Amino acid sequence: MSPILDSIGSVKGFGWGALGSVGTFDSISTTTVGVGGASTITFSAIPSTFKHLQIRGISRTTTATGDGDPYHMQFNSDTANNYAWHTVQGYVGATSDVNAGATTTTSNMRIGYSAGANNSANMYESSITDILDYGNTSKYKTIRTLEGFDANNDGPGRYYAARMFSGLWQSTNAISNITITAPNGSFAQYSQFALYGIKGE
Amino acid sequence: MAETYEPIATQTASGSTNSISFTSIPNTYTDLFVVIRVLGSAADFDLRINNDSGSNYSVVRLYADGTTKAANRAVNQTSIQLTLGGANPGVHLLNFNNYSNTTTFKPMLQRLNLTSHTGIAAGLYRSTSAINRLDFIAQSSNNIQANSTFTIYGIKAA
Repeated sequence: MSPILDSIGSVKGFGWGALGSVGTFDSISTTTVGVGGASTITFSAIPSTFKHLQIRGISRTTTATGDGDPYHMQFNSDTANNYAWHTVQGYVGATSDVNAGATTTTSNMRIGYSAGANNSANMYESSITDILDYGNTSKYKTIRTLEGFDANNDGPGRYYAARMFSGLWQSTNAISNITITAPNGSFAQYSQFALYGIKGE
Repeated sequence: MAETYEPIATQTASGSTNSISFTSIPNTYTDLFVVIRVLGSAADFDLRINNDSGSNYSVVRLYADGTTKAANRAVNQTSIQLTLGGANPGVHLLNFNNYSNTTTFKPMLQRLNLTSHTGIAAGLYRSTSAINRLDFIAQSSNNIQANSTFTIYGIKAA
């Protein structure tokens, strides 16, 4: 392991923070959206052999509302009100501010805002979501996301923001299935989500 | 499943130059992850991609310094400023998701934890070219402090 990793803790596997001991970081599955678009991205039959999961992606949707189109995550096909999420964002458009939001007892966890059809064709948002201790059957599951999107004044200019999200799934079941959904339309061609597994103690 | 997280290169600042450059970055990965441990500088430092000095960069930030929380933004820039109020000591983590595709503009996510403040940022390089070079440049011809380290990792998706 490199000195820099030693010096700041195990950044390996967690592009926006340190967590646990350094283990291997393996690619599990990747979905790249084709020309027809996709309203849902699903990772199924996720192996239980890792400690944590990470999803890294870029996204754009077909929706022409504002500059950002929210998308969300669910686990194990659970659509009941077993989720909660919080966010803090710094945004600059017509105004600038730092604000926070939350939704509890809800049916999914928001994890980002895609670029939308009002943005020029090559604009994509990016995100990194960590799913912690996903195989543990004794505790509820938590996630965290680093996400953001700037379009250089392209589009209506409402949602140029850098954000952090946290999420909760109130289930002790191990996560074996992850669904990412664009509820207002479809993820556009070239959107990509890659699932990785991180081994640890 | 092969391990897919590999170091590509590391550089350590000598203290006598104002930039650190990574050239010929391979396009064989899906994402790039950069870890910067900066020991300080008299000036902020910037990121430039593919040696492109056109006005093709923008960034939006959220930051807090212990007293103030704020957001700001810069558009049509010739580089992305990674620091605020001088390059105070600390760590920057940069993510370039899907850096090697030739279809999309290139987004960047940053997390910074410095002695002066903490924050996150979302940057954009408006080019569909694959990223093959990263330059970290101290402003106003100041030098990057000696022993500051810059490491690039490649992450490969299945």
